[in-house]
Amino acid sequence: MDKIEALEIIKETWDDETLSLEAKINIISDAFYSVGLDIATTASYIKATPAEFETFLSLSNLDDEIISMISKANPPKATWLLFASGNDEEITKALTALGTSSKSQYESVCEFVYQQMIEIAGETTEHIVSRLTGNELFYLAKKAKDFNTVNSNKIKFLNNIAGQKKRGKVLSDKQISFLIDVLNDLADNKVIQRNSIDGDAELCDKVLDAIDR
Amino acid sequence: MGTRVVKNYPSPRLMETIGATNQTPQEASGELVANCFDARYNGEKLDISIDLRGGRIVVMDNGKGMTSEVLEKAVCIAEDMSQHIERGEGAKGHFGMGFKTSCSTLGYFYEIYTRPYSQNIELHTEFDINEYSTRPSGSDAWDVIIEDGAPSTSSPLKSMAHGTAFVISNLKITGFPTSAVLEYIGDAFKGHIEKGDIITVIDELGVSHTARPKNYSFLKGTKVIIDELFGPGNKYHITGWVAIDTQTHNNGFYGFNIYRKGQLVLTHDKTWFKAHLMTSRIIGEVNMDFLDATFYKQGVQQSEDWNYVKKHMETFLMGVVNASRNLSKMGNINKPSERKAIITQLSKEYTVQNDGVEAPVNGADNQQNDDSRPTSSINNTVKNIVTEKSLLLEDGSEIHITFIEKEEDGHDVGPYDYIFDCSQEPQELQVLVFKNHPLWRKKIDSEVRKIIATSDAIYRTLVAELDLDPRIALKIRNEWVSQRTETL
Repeated sequence: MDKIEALEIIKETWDDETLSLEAKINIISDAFYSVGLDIATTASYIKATPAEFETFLSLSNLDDEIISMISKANPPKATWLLFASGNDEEITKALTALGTSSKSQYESVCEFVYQQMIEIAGETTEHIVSRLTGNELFYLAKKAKDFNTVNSNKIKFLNNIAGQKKRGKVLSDKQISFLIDVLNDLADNKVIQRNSIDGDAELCDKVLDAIDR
Repeated sequence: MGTRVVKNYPSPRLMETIGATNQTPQEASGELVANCFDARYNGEKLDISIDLRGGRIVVMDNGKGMTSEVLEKAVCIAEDMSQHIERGEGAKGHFGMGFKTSCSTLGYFYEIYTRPYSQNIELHTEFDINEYSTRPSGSDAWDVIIEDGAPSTSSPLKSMAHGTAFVISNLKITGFPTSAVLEYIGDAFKGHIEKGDIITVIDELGVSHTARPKNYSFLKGTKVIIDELFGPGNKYHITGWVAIDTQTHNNGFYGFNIYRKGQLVLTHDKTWFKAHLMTSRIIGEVNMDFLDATFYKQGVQQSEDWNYVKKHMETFLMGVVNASRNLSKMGNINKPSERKAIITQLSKEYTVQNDGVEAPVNGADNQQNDDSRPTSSINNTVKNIVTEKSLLLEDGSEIHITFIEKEEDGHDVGPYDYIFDCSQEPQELQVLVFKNHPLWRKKIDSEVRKIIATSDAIYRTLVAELDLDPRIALKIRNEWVSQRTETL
């Protein structure tokens, strides 16, 4: 098989609506990897975006059994990236939920699948921190000010993002990253600590769990 | 009624046609080198050079040269040379097409200079492909003029006592791929080089490079020795090795190099296992002297022998395939305990040699060599999914937008891209940003990055996926950007 033949096979398979996802994964990855094609060219030839084709190919790295399960569920392609990134347990959980649970509370299947996988994977520090409410952040800013051991710019930052959160804004990655630094600073300075006697034990534990302290 | 004899002379245009092959420059050069091995003189080591200087290609050997009688036959199309010269068991030329095909692939004009070992003469002949095309068909159309005279130092053979030089000029190719030829030749004639024959490529600047077989980098303890004797009456004997590479390959450069009589006939063959990223660690070399080769030695014939061997080797390699898969998944290659277990299992199933490298040394797998590397999880790749402002179209339909940042450099894709899914309602536009792409090393606000990537994805989706007029798509995109920036 040369590259032209491989491209033809890939295009024909990609466009074939009668084939299962599993069959498509097997045929296309076989042709792609046999002759050393590149993603951009192949994606262009089959009229897919490079990200779409790369994500599809990455599904082929999963075990045959998992590929078969995904194929049976035939999830929308917006979920492919998530399945390709997960481990067997996370994928199985999401696939099972796809078939049984209500998705109505989520804005998209993609978010639904992600949440199912996160239930197994555990939330990242970024997830938990980004969900701190405006009131919680205001409280932390006030407590930090009371302690008078934390840099005033950091207190100002806490107040700023607390206001933004109250207005419904989603924190940016940069803000989340800086917030994690500030929370660590608060922990270092004992503003937040385990078994807090300030009536905020629940919030302190939540933050300390999130930053793994 | 009756019969008549038609003089069936092929058109001289055939000389041009036989050069219209899909041989690469390295394969064509390799074919000319292969012929040199059929001319070994008295068991001497061969010194073969491919000289690329002066806008021509000169392939020269110190073999026994060709006598006038042999040269007369060699210049004929499709002459079976084994009828005219004595060669060893490993003879490479069979069909009398090799040098004509290869020379015609490389250039429009080629010459042969040869000095037979027992005679103090030099023979010369030349082929002008363009001139052949103008010749009328007929019995004289294929005439070749052979000149003979005293050896001259002005010939490419200079002061050599015996040998042959092919000189190809008026080249069809520009920018001869020197390094690719060197690598190909090193692999193709590995057996000969290891026995002391020398093949040199002299580049356009006059720098001399000696061809050497490729060094493989495979995991220690995974080199499986192949010595398989099987088939009716033990007809088939395959020797060689297979091992697990330290890294996976998505460029096709894995599988088996197959040799016949010391010459490479197939590179990176993956017939014996399912080609896949997970099996792309499988590398090996095998000798299959029983194979037939096509005249241009680009592939084995799809013979009954080949199919029989395929079945046998598929079964033989099952353990190796499993090892490649197991090492490739879940980052096992980087976990000493997992790696050891897989390699130990391999040693139970096969005879293995203990050379190779201890752990991955380069490539994508060289991240951490201890158990601290987390196993595959959604958290390793996707840190969060953010819902972006939806896109409302004039027909009332809605496109839901999600934004995902991946912990990758997007080297095959770019700094950002998208996946559009119209199989569900509402339709979903998934915007992907590859966080480690060099573009994002520049200081740029993450919100701005998000808006740039999403707005571009919106425009491309509207035009490429929904067939909207680019002007309308631009208007919709700009409206989205305008509304989105209000929340900054």
